[in-house]
Amino acid sequence: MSRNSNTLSGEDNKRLHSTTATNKEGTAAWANVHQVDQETNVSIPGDYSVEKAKNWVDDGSKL
Amino acid sequence: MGKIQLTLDGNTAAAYTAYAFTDVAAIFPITPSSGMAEITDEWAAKGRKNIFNQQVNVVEMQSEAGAAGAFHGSLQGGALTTTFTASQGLLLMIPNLYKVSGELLPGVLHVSARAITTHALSIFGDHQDVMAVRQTGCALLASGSVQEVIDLAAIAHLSAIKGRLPFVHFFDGFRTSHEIQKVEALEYSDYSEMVDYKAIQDFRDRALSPNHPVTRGTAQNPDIYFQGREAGNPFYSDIIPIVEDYFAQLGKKTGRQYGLFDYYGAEDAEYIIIAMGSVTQTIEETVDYHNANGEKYGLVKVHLYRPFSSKHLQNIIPKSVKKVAVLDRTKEPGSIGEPLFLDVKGCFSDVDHAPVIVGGRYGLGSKDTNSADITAVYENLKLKKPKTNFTIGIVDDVTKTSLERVFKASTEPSDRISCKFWGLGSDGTVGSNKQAIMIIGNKTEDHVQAYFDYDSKKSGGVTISNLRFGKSPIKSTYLVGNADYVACHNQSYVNKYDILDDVKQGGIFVLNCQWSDEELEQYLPNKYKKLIAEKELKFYTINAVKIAEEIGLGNRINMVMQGAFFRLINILPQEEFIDELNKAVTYSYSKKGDKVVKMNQDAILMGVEQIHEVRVPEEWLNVIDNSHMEMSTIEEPDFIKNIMRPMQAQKGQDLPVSAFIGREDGTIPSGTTAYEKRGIAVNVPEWIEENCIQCNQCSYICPHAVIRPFLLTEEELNKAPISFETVKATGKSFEGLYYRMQISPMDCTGCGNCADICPAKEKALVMKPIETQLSHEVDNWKFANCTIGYKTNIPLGVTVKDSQFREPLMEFSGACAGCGETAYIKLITQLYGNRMMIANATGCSSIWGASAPSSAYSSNKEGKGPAWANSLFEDNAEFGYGMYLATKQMRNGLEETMKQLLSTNVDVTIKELISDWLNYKEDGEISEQVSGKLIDAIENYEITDDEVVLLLNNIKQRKDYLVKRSQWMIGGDGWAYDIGFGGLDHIMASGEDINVLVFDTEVYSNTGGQASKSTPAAAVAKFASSGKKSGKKDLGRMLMTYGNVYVAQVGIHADNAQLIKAVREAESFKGPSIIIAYAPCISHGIKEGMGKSMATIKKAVNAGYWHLYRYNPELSKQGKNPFILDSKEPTESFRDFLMGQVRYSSLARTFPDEAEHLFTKAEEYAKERYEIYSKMNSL
Repeated sequence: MSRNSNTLSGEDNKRLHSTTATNKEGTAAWANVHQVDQETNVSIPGDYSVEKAKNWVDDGSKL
Repeated sequence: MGKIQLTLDGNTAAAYTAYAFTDVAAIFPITPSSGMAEITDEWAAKGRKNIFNQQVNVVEMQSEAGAAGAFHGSLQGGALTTTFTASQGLLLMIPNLYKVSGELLPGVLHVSARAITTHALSIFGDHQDVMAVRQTGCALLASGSVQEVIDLAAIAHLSAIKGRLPFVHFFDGFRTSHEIQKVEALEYSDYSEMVDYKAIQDFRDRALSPNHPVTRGTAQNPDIYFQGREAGNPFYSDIIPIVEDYFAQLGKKTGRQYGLFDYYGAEDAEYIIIAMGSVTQTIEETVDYHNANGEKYGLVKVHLYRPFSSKHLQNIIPKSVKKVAVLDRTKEPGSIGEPLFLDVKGCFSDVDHAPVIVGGRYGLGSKDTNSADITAVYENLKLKKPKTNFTIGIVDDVTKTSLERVFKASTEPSDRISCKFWGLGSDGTVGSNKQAIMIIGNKTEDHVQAYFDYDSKKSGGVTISNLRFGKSPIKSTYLVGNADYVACHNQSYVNKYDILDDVKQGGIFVLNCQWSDEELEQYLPNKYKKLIAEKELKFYTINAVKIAEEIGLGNRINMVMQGAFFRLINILPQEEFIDELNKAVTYSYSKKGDKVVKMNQDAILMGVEQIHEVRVPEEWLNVIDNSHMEMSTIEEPDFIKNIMRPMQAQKGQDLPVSAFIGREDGTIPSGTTAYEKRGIAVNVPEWIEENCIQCNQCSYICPHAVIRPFLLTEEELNKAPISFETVKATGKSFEGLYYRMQISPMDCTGCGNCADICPAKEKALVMKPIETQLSHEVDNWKFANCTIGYKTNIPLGVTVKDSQFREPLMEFSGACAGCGETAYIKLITQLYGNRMMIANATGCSSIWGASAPSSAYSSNKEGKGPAWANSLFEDNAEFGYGMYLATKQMRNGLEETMKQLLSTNVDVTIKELISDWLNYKEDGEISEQVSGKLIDAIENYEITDDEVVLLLNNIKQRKDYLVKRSQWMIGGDGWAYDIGFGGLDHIMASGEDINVLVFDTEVYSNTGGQASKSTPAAAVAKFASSGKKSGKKDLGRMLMTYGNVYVAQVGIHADNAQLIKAVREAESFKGPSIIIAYAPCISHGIKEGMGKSMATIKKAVNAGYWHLYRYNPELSKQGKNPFILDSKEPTESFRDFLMGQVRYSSLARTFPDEAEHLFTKAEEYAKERYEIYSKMNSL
């Protein structure tokens, strides 16, 4: 059995080599950098941004 | 009498009026109606009084069917009752609507009319839902604008009370429900003056009461049922003058006159349209434009749709009318016409010299309908034989129903200013634009309109804000297409979207970007440069991200962009708009402290001062579009090329109907998310190989399957790119192989969980700016995933580590960064994906799993993978059970055939394989091996015996069912605990071999955070705004009482080994199994951020908030205790855990008196639960 037109592999893909971002989320509330974990550089957003991110999914995005 | 000016959306308008007349609101949330119930609940919590001087009692039920039952019961109990709903929710209420109308009860439903799920789910607006209830006996009243909503909502309540009929008051979902406009409202005292208090008293006197008991809802037989049904006829004729009278009273108070039908346009019109809903506004605008140019067009707006008064319709239409087009916003396949069209045709069926009447469809699923479409309708009427059964707004090149959009001009008044803002979910763009429109609405005489267009991603989706303002009333109920001002708040969008298509000649374009003018030359796509030059745009840039950072606001750009907007749009003098924005900032942020207020005020000033106009070089006129994608010679699959790419570029609306030939049933291919490569992340993990202990935990917990271990042979390694560093693989099974942990940076969201949980002594993963990783890791990913792949010839064990060498068949979903749901199902697809069937309840998991064109479920190199489908919300358990029944029936047929073959003279090898199949058919892995061999054996086997040939052909025809399938029903707690619980309970009682996975976020995540029965005590949620009072339902323990159901409660990263053990036990258990998985969500407001969502799960278990256990009936058969408590005695502070999440900590701020008591209660409940589990464990 092999793939057919309804089971795609992702390989024949014009964006496979792409390094151009199309939907960067740098300005999203969850991505705000209030502090940074020194060991891992994982960003911690800060209370205000956490509330903003929560507020967006609870009231803004509304799906 | 007072008139209040309000700037609000349709939902709030409906709720404003409904509140006045409502004693009880029984509801269930459903997009786009939820806002009505939520704001009602909020007002009640704040003490607002209705006209009876009481707060409304809002009750959230378990489903719309439950809400309808409570709605009915509350009315019979004598309370004026309201509900708010849409779409499937309204349909679930149908049986009760018949009851409520049959019993002549004055209930009111406010419906933000929405599409019905057919070939696909749509949350967007049309009239399919309300049309599906037109026969229930409810009156139907249509509003076409936010002003009409606030006016006609009152008519619905007043008329229901006086006329004793329930009313469905509806308006277009999203287009009206979410559109913000400046409107005039009456005060509640005005409503009180209008209401018939005697009728209310009579209603209450008729209510069920033991003081004067009656019997209602009897069974009736053929002798009297029909007569009883007809006895209600006078109420339907009487309601018409009642409605008219209230229209007149409302008109006296407001100056706005409404009728059952309203006419607009030329008094001597020849061509008219009859329609209802928001499109009537666009039609008015179009009529004005064309009549000013000599046409004679008119419009009849329908308000009272049921009862339908032929007489009133005939009277309102000018005698000059020759031809009529009726527009329906619904579809009734197989009918000779849609409902409103048939009603109008029926009206004129016995009228002499009736006009020519044609009908058409528009706007399904919020398809935009603009003045070009309406013009096409009028032009069609002018034809000798106008087309009927037409469509507008689409190109139907299959059944040729569509009318062509030929008209190109704008019908909007010239004094109008239109703006379009492209933002990112949660970046503040939408909130700021709502604020902007309020300021403009309140500080100027202008009419204002704001409408927000989103994609379906919960967080991180594209937002497009459409704003209009001007001296003339705004009737443009369609998306801005000719904007004076367009802003792009996300630099990366220029690489994907044609943002400048909608800006008018000479308009303003503002780009938030980090590029200098010189860098613009390098990085701004040529098609942008060309359009800027061709359209002679005033082009501005601003580095809002840098400004916000320097001020101390982090990445919060919204006030910077607001300052820039107000400066450029020139609607208010600078001093005034700065003052207004400062006031707004003070209002919004004062609780955060003066420093935050000042920073935001500084941001406004910086936006004003630092907006920079770019001098557009002349050379830009002649540049050639050289985008990388256009240049690539790769031939993508048809679906990707013809459907996905256009949709991704926001050009889906231009796709013709023929694009969907072969996909009429809504099927899309699996594995399409691999084609997106969105480049979301700011930082991505960099693997430090010398520190890695090869535990694979990072891969295990990764929500998006973007970090995976690969094993290479020496030969494969020799072909690797130079940057493809590896280490020797550890573990007996992997001797001689090389190991690498590979990231896909363009698929990564950058949440950081992988780095956070890495248990190595020195971290093997560190987050680095994505720009530093792209040049080599994109190619490394391609090499690893496409060339090396996933080794199936290595014996993999049952450990956490080994599981990650299997290919995940759920990848790159649209879930939020750090989502707590996805890793669970990803793991299950790694173990069973090649033979898996998934029934997925509507909710977050169905949206991130498959929002067209993106399907996160994929297939392996053999083309096998999870078969996935979503039916509805409430029926998911049954839907999955149905899949199981189908499979079982087919396999039973195979079993019969196999047994018959055993007694024939078929080859002995085949007989042996058949015996193996019969013995092992319920074992997934063995049946896979045996089935493969059996198919090979019989494929080309030749025999002359006809009976044997027939039997072998039976097997070949059903070969798809040979391998044992792994049947899963998955969904959130909204489904499992509430609306779908009845069905879940039933299938758990079936004893069949089915598996359920519950993503327990403890709240209705997808619809905006409403409380479920899984929400624990003290958690703040919609409809539990002062903290949930009741404890969390123990779903697991309820199902354990069956005794033959496998139940597990798990938490990834809290105990990875327990999770995989539970999954394997559940799947192999020959009976019903359920896994309840704790899933952190952005809605929880985790203060450490979603980069530590996995760590939160561990904390939850360590604090005794969440417990891990397995209940395995197999152990009972062995005489052992079936219950195993896997989590230990809590070691961390329960209170600290709560305070680490806004959903709890906010209670201390908003309801401090309640908070302490509820926090204590929550901890008691959790302790009690642990004690019960401990006792069960010790039995």
